[in-house]
Amino acid sequence: MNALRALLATVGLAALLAAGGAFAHPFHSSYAEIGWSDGGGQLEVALRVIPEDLEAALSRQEADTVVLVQSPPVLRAIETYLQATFQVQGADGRVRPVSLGGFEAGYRETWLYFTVEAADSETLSLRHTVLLDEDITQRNQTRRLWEPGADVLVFTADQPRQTLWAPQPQDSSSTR
Amino acid sequence: GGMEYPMITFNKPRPYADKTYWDERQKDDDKTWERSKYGLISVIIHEVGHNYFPMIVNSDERQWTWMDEGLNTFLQFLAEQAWEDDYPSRRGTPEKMVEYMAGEAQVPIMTNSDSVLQLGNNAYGKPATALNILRESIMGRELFDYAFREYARRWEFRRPTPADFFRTMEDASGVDLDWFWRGWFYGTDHVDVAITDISLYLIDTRDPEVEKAWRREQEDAREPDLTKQRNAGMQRLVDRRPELRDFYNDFDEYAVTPYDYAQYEKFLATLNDHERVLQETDRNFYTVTFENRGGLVTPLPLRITYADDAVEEVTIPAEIWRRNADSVTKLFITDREITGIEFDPYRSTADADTANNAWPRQPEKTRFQLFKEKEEPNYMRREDKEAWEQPIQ
Repeated sequence: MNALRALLATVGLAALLAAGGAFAHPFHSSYAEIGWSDGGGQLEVALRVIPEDLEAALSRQEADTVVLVQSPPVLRAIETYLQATFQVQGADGRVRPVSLGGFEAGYRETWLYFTVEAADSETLSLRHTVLLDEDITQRNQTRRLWEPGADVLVFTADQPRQTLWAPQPQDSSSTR
Repeated sequence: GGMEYPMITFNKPRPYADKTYWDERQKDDDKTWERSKYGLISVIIHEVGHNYFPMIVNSDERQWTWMDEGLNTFLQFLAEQAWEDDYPSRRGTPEKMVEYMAGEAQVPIMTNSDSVLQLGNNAYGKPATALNILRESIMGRELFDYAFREYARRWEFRRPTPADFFRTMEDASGVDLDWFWRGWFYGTDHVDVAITDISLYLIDTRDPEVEKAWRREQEDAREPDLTKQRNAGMQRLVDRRPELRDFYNDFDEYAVTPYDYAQYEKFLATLNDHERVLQETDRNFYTVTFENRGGLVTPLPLRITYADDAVEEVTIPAEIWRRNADSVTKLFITDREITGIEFDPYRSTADADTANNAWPRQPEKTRFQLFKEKEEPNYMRREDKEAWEQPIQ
């Protein structure tokens, strides 16, 4: 009985410590920059994520361990993931296709570079749920390059969709 | 990830039993080894650092998570930078905090940890960045290190609160930092300073030889308007009928006349010795206006470039915002012509919008553009070495 009590006390203490403790990876946020391509017709996106979080999400999607290396299967997995979690929609409700240009994976961060087919003549919304399936507290910050520098949209579990782009009036100059 | 209590023994990532960081069969340019190596070193530094903050300097981490996690992340950054050159620290440098600080749905660092949004950025990254800025850009390393050590010494085996930290840093350094704590720890503003106006003023010498020559030079430098350009070479009425010419057809308004000399002498006679010296000053007076668009006041580190390509770096203390936290105008008196001014050239203030930091404005490329410009083969060519070595047609 004493041994059992000691075990329970240890488990309880560990649980108490864990509940009150801190941890070295509490960052669950991403950052994206979105701009129009020179000729229009495409949105160009640079998305920064924490590499371990992305690997966890891809591994879940593929039902297999995924490591961020420059290989066609990984590229395809990333593109599939982005198509499902970075959804630009027009007024017709159609999700625009995503095309991955590449990625850069380092210790500090991983940058994903991709394009989304879209026209600047239509109103566009963005449903940005990248890595939300990994941590409910994930916050995805998105900077629209045609807006002032400090204007940043934040996507969360409570607010996964926001208006991304509204067409400019015909008689005013485009600010793309 | 990791944890500082006895479960520190479970921290990861781990090297293999043969002491390699990652699978050696990975291609050289796949930097997965980097994450394994630096991930483990960083988490050990961080978790061992907790032995001091909060285990010895025993702040209340439930009330103020930043007092241990933020300070520890800051010290982690210093230790990482002391480990090797170009250590890829994830937190600590000001530019890494920009997106968080410029975003919405933030709460101040001083918020009770149960109510914090984005715990990692709020309690780890932002305080670490603030202390790094305080050390590198405001107090200087020597003064900061002395004050920080004094805080650790005074409060070891005790239970400090934020006020104790703030007071000790000021007390030990003799530096008034209320603006800093208020902005970084009690607010959610960010740094965004814009250079919005530069004006050049020169002394009017009143010497007609100098001033009229200068006005002539300014007039000659002006581009003729379209009408003038298209009328060039056209024969005028006074050319066809010379009897219509009068004094003003040949009059040179920039020629110096005896009347001009007389007025100048009259003016000089009204000056005292001090005023004469000022009058003869051959210097440029620049006024530069800085707008605080982000709300968080900051020192103004500047890089000034002159016409002779000389470069001068000067830092204006944050106290410049004392009377007006929205906009300040600073006077620069120089012997040389200024050709460029840049705010925060070393990205030391966490400025959120670098596009408005320089005069003249510097064009910036987006990250996507920079990525596209890299000379790497596209996706379809990477399967075949012959294909990716062919020049792009």
